[in-house]
Amino acid sequence: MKGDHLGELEELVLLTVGSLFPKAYAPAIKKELFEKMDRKVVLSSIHTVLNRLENKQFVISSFGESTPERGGKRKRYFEVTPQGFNALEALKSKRDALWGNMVQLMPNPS
Amino acid sequence: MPPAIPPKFASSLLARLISTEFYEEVSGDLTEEYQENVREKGKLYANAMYLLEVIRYARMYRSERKYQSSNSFSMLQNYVKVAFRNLLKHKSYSLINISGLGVGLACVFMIFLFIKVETSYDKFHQDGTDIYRLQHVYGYINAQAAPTYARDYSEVASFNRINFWKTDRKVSLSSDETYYEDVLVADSNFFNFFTFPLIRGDKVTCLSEKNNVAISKSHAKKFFGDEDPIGQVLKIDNVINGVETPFKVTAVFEDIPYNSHLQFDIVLPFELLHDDRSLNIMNLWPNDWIGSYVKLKPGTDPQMMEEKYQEMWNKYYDAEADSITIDFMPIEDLYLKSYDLRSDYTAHGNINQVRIFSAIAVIILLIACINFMNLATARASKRSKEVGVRKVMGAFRKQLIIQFMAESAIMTFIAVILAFLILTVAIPPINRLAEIDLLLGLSNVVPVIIGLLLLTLLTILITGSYPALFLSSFKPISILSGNNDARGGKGWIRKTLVVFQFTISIALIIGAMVVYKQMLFVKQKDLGFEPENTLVMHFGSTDALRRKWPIVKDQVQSIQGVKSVMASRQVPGDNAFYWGYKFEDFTDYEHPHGDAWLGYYVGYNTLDALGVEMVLGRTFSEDIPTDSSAFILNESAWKQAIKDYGASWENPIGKTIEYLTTHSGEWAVDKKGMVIGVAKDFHHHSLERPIDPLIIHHAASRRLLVKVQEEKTSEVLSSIEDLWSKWNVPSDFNYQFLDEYFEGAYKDEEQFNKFIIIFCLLAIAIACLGLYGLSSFVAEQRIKEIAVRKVLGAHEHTIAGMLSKDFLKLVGIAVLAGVPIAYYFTNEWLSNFAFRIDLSWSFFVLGSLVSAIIAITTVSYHSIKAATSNPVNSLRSE
Repeated sequence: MKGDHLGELEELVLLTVGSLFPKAYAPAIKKELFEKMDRKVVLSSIHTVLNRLENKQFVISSFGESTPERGGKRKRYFEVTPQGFNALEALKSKRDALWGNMVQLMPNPS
Repeated sequence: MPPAIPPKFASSLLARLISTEFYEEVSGDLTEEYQENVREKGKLYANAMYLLEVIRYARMYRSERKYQSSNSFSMLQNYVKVAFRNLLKHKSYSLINISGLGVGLACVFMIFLFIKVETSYDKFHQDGTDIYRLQHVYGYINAQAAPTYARDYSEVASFNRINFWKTDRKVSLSSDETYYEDVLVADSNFFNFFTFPLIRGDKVTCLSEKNNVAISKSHAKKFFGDEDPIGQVLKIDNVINGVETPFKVTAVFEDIPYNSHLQFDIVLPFELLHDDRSLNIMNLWPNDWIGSYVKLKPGTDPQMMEEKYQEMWNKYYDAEADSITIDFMPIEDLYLKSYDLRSDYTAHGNINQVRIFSAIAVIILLIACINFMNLATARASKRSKEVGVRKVMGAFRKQLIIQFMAESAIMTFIAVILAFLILTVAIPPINRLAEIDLLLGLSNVVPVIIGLLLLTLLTILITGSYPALFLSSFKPISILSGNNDARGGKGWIRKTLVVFQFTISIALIIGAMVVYKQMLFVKQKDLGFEPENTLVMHFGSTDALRRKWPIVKDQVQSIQGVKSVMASRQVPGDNAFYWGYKFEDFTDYEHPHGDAWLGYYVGYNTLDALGVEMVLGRTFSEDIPTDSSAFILNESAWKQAIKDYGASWENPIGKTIEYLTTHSGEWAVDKKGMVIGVAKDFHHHSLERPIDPLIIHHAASRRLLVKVQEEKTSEVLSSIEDLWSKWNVPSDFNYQFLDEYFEGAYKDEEQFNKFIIIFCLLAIAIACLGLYGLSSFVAEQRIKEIAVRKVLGAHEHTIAGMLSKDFLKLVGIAVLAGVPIAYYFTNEWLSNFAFRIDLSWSFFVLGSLVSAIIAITTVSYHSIKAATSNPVNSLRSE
């Protein structure tokens, strides 16, 4: 089913959520993506992706504390679910398999 | 530092865009980002970014949010789908319905465009609502009225007077090129008073000197090409002293828009008129000849100002006079509302035409809508199961109404598209045919589009309302249990609508017949003269023709195929003008200039050659010198004279008449002469108007008239054209046929009548289309009944009769209702004509018969089809 598939941005966001645990919320993810991956992503895209991931049950969310600079609104923290982790791992192992067979353009293996 | 608050507008937009589920988180995140942006990049950037982000959240609106009521959206999709399925399933029904509505809408749009053009006249003047024209029985008044108003009454802010020098004044350039043009003479504040924008020159001073002239942009180009027109000299033939006078171009104005009642290309200063040798031409009160406009201060009651005219008249002219009246005609209404003046210097529309067309537009729209409603409800029997199932599944009545409204809307939109297709195809030929430009009204697109949209909406509302309310009222149990009560409804509303539709149709058929008959009558009416095969050529100046007349006459007469040669100043179809006349044996005149009669100027042999018969006496003769100052009366004038001036006029021959003009000082006798004959009445102008009493003069001629043998027309024309250059005539060779020229006097009316007939026929066609569709549904509905009857032995013709009878009953009622309506309106319409047909009963009988026959033919197709069908086909499925 389509639901199991991870898009490129989805994968990145999911990874970032995992790496930021337990402080993963949208603006933080945005900042992390910019700093680590050099990717400029607008907030609405991140929200869209997060919602999609939540629908696929790859992340779960809970409300956290509120700060004055958020206009009194609470943060929503995300964490990766086991399914999410599995999906990431599956993707990685598939990639690794591909990497393992990669010969073209590789520096001389000797 | 306290946290910055993002713009209110954007945050409230956000609240609307995304569901509450995400609102808290998203808005918090955005606000947090906003703080950072304010800190780092400044408030403006932060605001912009915030707004941009909010807008981006629109994508979460539908796709990501959890619906509270996703049903209404998908139901809407379902409605559209079902609507299109229905359209395709009943192709003939859809075709009838959409094409009927489409044609109807096309007519209505077209009429709308026409009305838009007609009502757009003179709306562009600044303070236009305060500008009035002084008029009475003519479109013009004496030269004193407007300035006196402005001087004596503070309510009058300013005034402007104009005078047209029509009849082609000679205009020559320094390069010796000559043109013949109409010239407008106007008070120097002309461009200040009216809003005709100047391209060059100053609107205050451009007409202040007596030798100034303002010309239009197109004429500047025509006269001077690409040269700078300002300061150039034009020599213009001056009406007042008859001398060619040089004028210096001081201003160039934008070409006058089509929707101005004043149409001109050359403006001279009014001062020129003061050069007239007689001062009195300007001062005399009972001498109407100047177009006069006044601008009132805002809020002034024009009626109050009208009443002041009597005071003025008594004060300045005649203290005794009473019942002196004047009309203040608002300039914005002038074009449409002063069509019934006795004479005027501008073209006019006719408010009645606009009214009649509006009425026809409403009728056509109604008929098309009724079709639609009838067909939709007739089809209800087919849709009732659908309605039942929908209701059982939990549809509210409101939803069903929305569904049927949506269906109507879809059909209407397709019809509108069709209507526009028809319009794009039909408008160019119609413009050519009617010599109008319907698209002109589109120059201000916005009101037109708004108007069309409103029309479309109105159509949707009318067509949708009845089916929607009717169908949605079905009770699901009775439909689904097969109880027939609700199926197809009781039909009385449908019947009423059919009766209504046919009442209108019958009235239209009778109306179209009467209009047609009247047009034919006008065409075939004995005019009192023979206009056929007569060429009219314009000689430019009276002088030129007089000098060359003997040669011209001889040479033209000798051309093969020429029957007779005439010269005349006026020909039938021209406007005649009022002058002062005094009759022998009568002295008790109200005015110093005697009584006003229409003077009519002809050449020596014009009356004979045109075939006007004489009742008494003889026509003018070239051989009798005194005939140059003789008069001929027409029959109406003779009768009028007997009535007004006593029985001695019973024998008019040899009596003298004085003809008074203001050309030399005070009203004075211009010509005194004997009456030498009485001519039989002939139609000297449009047949809409009665024949006026005419006093026929002999006068210097301006036109050459040649009667030819029909088959030689083209040869004669080319011979005359050759001669024309030899004669050295001041104007270019051009010709018209007298019958066409005369018809030109009422061509507008005729065209209008043609359009009435076309629209009536279309309306009837649309009504028939509806009846055809309706009868097919009724036949289909009763198909089992018919089959059973046939099996039991009914004849085919009894069945066909049974099916037709229902409709014929309706048509019968419609005849009863339609005939009186038709009588009333045709009677009103005919009363506009001076010469008209009698409204005989045959029109009404014929009209009713025609409509009954149309109805029978339309209905019988389906009746016969149903009656002759094999009963097995309709019965076997049960």
